[in-house]
Amino acid sequence: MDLPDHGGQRRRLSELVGGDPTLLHFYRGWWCPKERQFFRRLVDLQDDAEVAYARMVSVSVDPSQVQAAFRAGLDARWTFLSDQDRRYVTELGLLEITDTVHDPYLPMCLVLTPDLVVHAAYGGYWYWGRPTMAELRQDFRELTRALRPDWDPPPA
Amino acid sequence: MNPLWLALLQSDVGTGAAATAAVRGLDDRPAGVLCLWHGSDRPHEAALQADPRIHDSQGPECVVSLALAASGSEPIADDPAIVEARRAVLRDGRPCAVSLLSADPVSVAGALTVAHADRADQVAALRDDPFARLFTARLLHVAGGALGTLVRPTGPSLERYAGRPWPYDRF
Repeated sequence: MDLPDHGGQRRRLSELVGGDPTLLHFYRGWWCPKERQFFRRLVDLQDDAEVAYARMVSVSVDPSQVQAAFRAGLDARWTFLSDQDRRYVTELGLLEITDTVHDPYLPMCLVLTPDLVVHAAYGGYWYWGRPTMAELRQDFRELTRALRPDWDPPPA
Repeated sequence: MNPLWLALLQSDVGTGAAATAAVRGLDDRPAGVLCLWHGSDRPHEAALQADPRIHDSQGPECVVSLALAASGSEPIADDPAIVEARRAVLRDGRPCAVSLLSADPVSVAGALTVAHADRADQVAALRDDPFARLFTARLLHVAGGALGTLVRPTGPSLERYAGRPWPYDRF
């Protein structure tokens, strides 16, 4: 995945993920009240993620400028990617077919390993499918424990 | 990736630098030579570690904001003011490269923010450098061949990796 970010700079997903567990979050757009509610919880989670070697990336079909404004209003401090041309929405099987006005992404949360393997997937759609922050913490914990040989401190 | 060290010196002291670039003030007066080294050992008493990805041997002429703490009063990297400056960098999404500068794994000696000289949006962003609120900062022209890679963090992580200067992001 190679897309412009909220500032218009091209970013590759592999570089954004780097060496850390990462939440890859597809969302419909700023207009969706379910997304706004979920973002409020992610913004709470970012204060834990910022000190725990975990990353977050949010993807939508909004133009970069719209994402930048939405992101600033949320006080989100992670990277947003703009797929305004819908380059990946069909390839990933994430087209929201019930919205023929925006042709947005289906709401989907993927928790990725550093080598871009999906550890957990949560489909939001209309109901209760989005992950709770407790579930995301658990996913980050499991991945980090597997990733870091110093999860347990070395003996004195 | 090998640690990167850099120093703004009065002249090239010939210590095996990986790159050197002439530096001028915004008034066009000579302001020294930026020297960059790779390696584990500190190559010069004035050298500070930076994110190694910031070195770009093919890089263009740049304008930088070089913000340096007064010697002996370097804050720890986890000082709330330093944390908040890093948050500001993530929050505003500035189109510049940035690296903390450090002489040890605990404290912060300053920060370097790098704009391409031909990118007016990047150069304008230097005038609101969050680290310039904490340290003494200078805006300087740096000749090509030293800097320029757009090193940007993903967010929201602010942690340093094995003591390397943020935003270096690998153990």
